[in-house]
Amino acid sequence: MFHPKSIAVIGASTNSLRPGYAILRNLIKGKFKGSIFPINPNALDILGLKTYRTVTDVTDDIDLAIIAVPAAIVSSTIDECARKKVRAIVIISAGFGETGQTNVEKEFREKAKKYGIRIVGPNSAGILNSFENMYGTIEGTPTKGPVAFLSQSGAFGGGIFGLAQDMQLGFSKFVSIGNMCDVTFSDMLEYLAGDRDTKVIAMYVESITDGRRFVSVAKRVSLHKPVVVYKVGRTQAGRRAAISHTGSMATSDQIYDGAFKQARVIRAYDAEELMEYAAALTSQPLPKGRRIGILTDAGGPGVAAADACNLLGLEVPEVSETTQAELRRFLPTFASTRNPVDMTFTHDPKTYEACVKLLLSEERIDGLIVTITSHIEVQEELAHTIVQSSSNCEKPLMVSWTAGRMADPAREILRRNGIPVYPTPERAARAMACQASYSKFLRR
Amino acid sequence: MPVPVFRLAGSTLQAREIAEELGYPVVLKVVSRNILHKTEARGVLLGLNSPTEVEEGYKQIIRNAKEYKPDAEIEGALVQRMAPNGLEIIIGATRDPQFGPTLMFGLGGVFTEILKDVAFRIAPADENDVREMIHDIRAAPILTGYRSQCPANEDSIVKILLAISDMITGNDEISEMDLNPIMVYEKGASIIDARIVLEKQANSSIR
Repeated sequence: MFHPKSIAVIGASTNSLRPGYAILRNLIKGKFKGSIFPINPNALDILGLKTYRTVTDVTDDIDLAIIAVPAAIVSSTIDECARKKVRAIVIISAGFGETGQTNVEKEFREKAKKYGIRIVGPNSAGILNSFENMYGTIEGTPTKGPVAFLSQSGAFGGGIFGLAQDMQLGFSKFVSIGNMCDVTFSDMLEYLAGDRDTKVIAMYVESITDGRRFVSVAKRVSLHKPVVVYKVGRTQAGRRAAISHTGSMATSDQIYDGAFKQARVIRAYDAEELMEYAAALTSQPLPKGRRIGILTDAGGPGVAAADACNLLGLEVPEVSETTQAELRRFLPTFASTRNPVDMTFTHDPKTYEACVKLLLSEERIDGLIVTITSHIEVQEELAHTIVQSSSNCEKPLMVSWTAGRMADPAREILRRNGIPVYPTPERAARAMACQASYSKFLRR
Repeated sequence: MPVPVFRLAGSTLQAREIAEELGYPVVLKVVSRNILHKTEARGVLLGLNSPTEVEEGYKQIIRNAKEYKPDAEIEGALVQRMAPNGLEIIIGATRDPQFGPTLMFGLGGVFTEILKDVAFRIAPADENDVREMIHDIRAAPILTGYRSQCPANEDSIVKILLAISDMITGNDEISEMDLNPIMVYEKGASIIDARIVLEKQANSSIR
């Protein structure tokens, strides 16, 4: 599925608006090193690739078939793929379970079993493996990175790529899981647990069809790498009439909450949060506890960070007298040194360097948030200073830089060096809380 | 599991005798396989402190029950020693269509019913899961005591949750369980009322 040497795109199209074209384009754009075979009885050549009438006309072996034909002929196409001894199938075609026709999907599942082929979809936007330059998806060619992203919506998945790109976060794998006629979230989790290219698994979920299995699989997988889930609800078709309190109390989402906690899965509540947590988890060490230090260049954001930390169950303890005495050597007399440590407005990178190093070595804190406002003129130097002051540190560091796009150069430097940067103190605080939660899960 | 001592009385005289034996105060709860919601039927009386109160009480709840459901088969009333006040909690189990056997925990009264401040875990749950679940609820600090509310010991809550976890996973015919209320004290707990719903059978109320 993820390491094909040859891919057939069945339903390849000359129409640039169709998925059968987009997938070919992305496979070529992504510089896939294997063979690509467009299949279309009405074309000889698409995008410079020799096109075949049917998949059985191709003499080479075909590892992966991506099916983008009309719904009515998907079933027979699967049979053809089986004859061709294809090993894995991704069905882009839609118009099945989502329109209520679950019987057809059941048929696909049975064929998958019968033929020994794994099937992703239907209604999938494709899959990608960036480490193999394999971009078998309509959603684009995102940069390579450590996050595997499983999405129950193809389109939303594509949008989320864009958000991740802004954060300079790359993907190892993407699976638009579609209607899950065969391959489920649980199957993918099991696979990704052993995938060396993947450090964090992020998921966009609408419904989990094998809840019990998901909990037991996720519980195991999350010990190897963090799993973050952004789940939205679906309209309930109907609820059982409840006789007891328990029955009537069971709002589906609260149960998901409990199940995720039990499975050591971190929950995000919007797409940005999902990617922000993934970014933090891929790049920073985990805090050993919940005590957070805050270093700021202005009173306001320091207070905001402290508020946010407290609301999220993190502590903001006063730092030791020794540390405060040390800090006072660099800071003006009116600077606050207790925690948050307010350097007051300064352009001097040496002050930042001293304070960051001091606080990271303060034994009363497990992680540090640095809030910066503006500082556009000295941003690159500041960013480099923060990178150097925190290198080789075992405690997590998060930066909140409030300055709009003018601070993009600084952000780029920080992110390139594995330091997550957020637009506001609150976002940095919740990313820190996410690290702390995962750390707590592992210590259970 | 800890349940307050109780006995079934089939007559006013029996009710009085049992009350004398168990010691006051007692509660009376009408027993009828046709009446599931005893409180709604006004078939529950609490805090009865004398033989006369018990006799009058018995007659009254039978009257109320007959009024609520005229064709109900009434076996009599449970006479139960009244549990002292502790911290009220609710523990339940249900079969979720996605996750299967699922446990629920919350504090009694408005916390669960109005504020929906409850926590769920999927059964079978281990001790870790169950302790975390208890602390998941926002009202968890109340367990350590608050004003005139005495502290409630966590261990007995854990024991009951683990027992319910076993019961719902080990018995396919149970479709829902509702232990409400459970009184939790500094030491020990007492299950005041419980309901178990069985699959494909008439509902039965555990006494």
